[in-house]
Amino acid sequence: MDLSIWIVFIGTALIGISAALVGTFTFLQKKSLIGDAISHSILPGIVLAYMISGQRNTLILMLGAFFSGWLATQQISWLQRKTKLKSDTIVAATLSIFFALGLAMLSYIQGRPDDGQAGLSDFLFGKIAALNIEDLYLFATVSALIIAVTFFRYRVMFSFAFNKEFMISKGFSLRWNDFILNSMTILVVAMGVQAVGVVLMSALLIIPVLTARMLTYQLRSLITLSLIFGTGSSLAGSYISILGKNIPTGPCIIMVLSMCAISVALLLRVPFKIKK
Amino acid sequence: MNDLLMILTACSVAIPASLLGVLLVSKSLVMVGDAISHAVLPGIVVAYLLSGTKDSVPMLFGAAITGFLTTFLIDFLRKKWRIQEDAAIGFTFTFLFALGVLMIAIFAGKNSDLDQECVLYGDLETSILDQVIVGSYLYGTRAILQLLPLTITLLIVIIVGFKGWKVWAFNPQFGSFIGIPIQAFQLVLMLLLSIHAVLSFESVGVILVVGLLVLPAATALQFSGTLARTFLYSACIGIVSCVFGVFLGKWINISISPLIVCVNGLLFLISIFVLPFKKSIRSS
Amino acid sequence: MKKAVEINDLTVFYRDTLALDNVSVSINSGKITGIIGPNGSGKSTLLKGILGIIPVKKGTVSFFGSSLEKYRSKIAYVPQRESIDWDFPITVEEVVAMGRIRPKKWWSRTTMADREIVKETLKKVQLSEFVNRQIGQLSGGQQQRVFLARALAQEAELIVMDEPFVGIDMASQESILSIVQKLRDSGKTVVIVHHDLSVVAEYFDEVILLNKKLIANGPISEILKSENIEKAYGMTLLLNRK
Ligand SMILES: Nc1ncnc2c1ncn2[C@@H]1O[C@H](COP(=O)(O)OP(=O)(O)O)[C@@H](O)[C@H]1O
Ligand SMILES: [Mg+2]
Repeated sequence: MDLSIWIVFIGTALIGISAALVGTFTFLQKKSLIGDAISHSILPGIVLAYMISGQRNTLILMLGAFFSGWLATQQISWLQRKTKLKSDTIVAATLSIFFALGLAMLSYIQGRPDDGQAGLSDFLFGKIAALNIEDLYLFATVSALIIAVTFFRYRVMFSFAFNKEFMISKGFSLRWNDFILNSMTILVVAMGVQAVGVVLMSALLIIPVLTARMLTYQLRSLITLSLIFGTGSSLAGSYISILGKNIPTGPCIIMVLSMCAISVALLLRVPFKIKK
Repeated sequence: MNDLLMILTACSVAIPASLLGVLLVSKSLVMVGDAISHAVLPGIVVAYLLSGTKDSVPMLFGAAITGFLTTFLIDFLRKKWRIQEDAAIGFTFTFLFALGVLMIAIFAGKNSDLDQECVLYGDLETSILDQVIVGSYLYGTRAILQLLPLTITLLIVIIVGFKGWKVWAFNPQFGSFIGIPIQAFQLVLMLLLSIHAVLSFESVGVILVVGLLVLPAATALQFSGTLARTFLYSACIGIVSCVFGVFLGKWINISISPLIVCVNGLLFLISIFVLPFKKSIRSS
Repeated sequence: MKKAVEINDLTVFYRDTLALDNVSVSINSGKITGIIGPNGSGKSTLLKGILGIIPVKKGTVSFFGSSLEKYRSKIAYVPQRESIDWDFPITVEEVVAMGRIRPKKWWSRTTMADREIVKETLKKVQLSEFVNRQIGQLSGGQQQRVFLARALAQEAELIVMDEPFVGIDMASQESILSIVQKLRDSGKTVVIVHHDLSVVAEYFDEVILLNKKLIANGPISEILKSENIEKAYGMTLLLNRK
């Protein structure tokens, strides 16, 4: 009993930390909505992994999620090269194709008599209480990877977000940078959907950094503050959802996050640009 | 009979969606459309809790209000807080959607007919059971009868304001210069979008709506040069996908509304693959 | 004279639209060269094309006889101000420090030596007091000087600037020009994109007139002679209108 509560809290904290870190850079790159597309797009991967393996093993599901998230980012960049469509159209098209595919597959296995499929609906809104100790090890590994990459690459990713033409002119590879950021996003999303679900995962990426951005324009404080908001709200949200029996975790966390953002906005009242 | 009813119901959702989608795509407002279709959820829930029914009149009010709230909030964040557009959209709709889901979880009891899953997938199969029968004549499903006026209104709005829409989409500065109320066009579009989102969420769910909005329009755009043709093609693609989706769903026995979006997606991807052929036809 | 940049048959498309048509021209080393043309004439495209920022359809570019890859570390690029998001959460110091990032050692953090260079260059452009300002909270001239400082921090041999004189005050223009002249006098090559022949033209040693194609190039005095202007007639019309 005690142990499972700890698992939940540590798991949520790890998700909060990684999402806030990666979210800061997707925000700076103005790619927040790609995070949304990725989080919807991993659904078919999760369902497929479940269909093939027949069990709800977090590692296998995450592999599936990674695979379809990666396919989605490939489709987005393929469409960007191949068509004249604007990027919001491309993102929305990719998102809806993958998500619809995922739902169709979900309804296929729900039509079948075997058990376990109920666990998959949890991925839509998240259910943090379903975590076990092995999942935690996996989360810790993924988070460590994300923290390490951020630590070593933050200057490059930050500079790319600010002025990519300059970085290309210095000989940095845009594709490689995009690949790294996309991979980190996919990993975080694959991890985070267990807590907040596919539908609201993008909020966990966007809202912490958005709140932090209202308070500061300096990168260090931006990262620090969004880590605080992200982790704190994830913990508070999952605590509330455990207290209230029937409340899904995802919306709870997002509400706490939004409340943070709104109170910061109200407290500041004066828009941050006008401050000297 | 049921198949026909199901196709008609699906089409009644898909046709207005594909028309609205053309406007959204040509103005790069697709993600705003997506945001609105998520964000009407709290409006729906509040209306449902207050009125106790899924009756459409209070829901329409709820939708209109949340629809406006969404656009207002996105605009406010962008202008007053200088928050970049993608984050402003992402924040607004996840916040409102989470609010809606929480309200469902807390207030709408277990036995209500508003639950999280139906909000997500929608359920075309059960929505056709809601039939309107007067005397002994079947007039259609409730969804059809609700969406038909919207579709007609939409058509009138598009046809009457066609020139205005063109200016709105491609040359807004010129529009405000010659006195076309560009802002009003945008508001009308957002209003129609929210109403459509409310009326269709029982059949297709709030998340799949964006697929019905963007995919036919994006496909149509691959083939057509003018705005009028894009509308026409987009609607046709919407209808074709519904027909295929319904039969496919019956055949492999899975949920129909995601399938309709899948068929739409397939058509979209095919349209991109055949694009080079189209070019060579034109140049020769 | 030594050629800093040699461009051969450079052709660039944006999808189906032609932006640069078979441009062959060379840029002399140790000079200030202006690239002049009306809006949309492909000046920025030319810079991006030679620096490998956008793919080119056709053509070759060499720098002091060697390839871009070999010479890249000695080039500093100052992008057009429209391409910058001035609301981005970055401070003056961080922008200038970008000049010290090296692709080969991407893991490295700013060293003490780097910090020193950043400080020096900020002093050169007279922005020492603004180190911790967010870049949006500077005047246009100060912003442009921040980007010049970033280029100086790169300690490059070839400095390429895209429209550095747009939207800035006279004082900043003067100070940028004097820094640029100092760079030239110490043997560096400077390329400046500008949209007309007025105002700053007198500071250029050589000019390249561009309008999708190469119209004319050579020392500024020759280009200003009547026959050349006539040759570039369609274009001078456009230039005068500006
Ligand atoms: N990313 C782009 N996509 C499509 N067309 C572009 C793009 N960038 C520039 N162009 C077009 O290429 C032409 C040259 O642009 P540019 O090099 O920016 O001109 P200049 O810098 O001389 O004003 C213009 O007609 C412009 O519209
Ligand atoms: Mg330019």
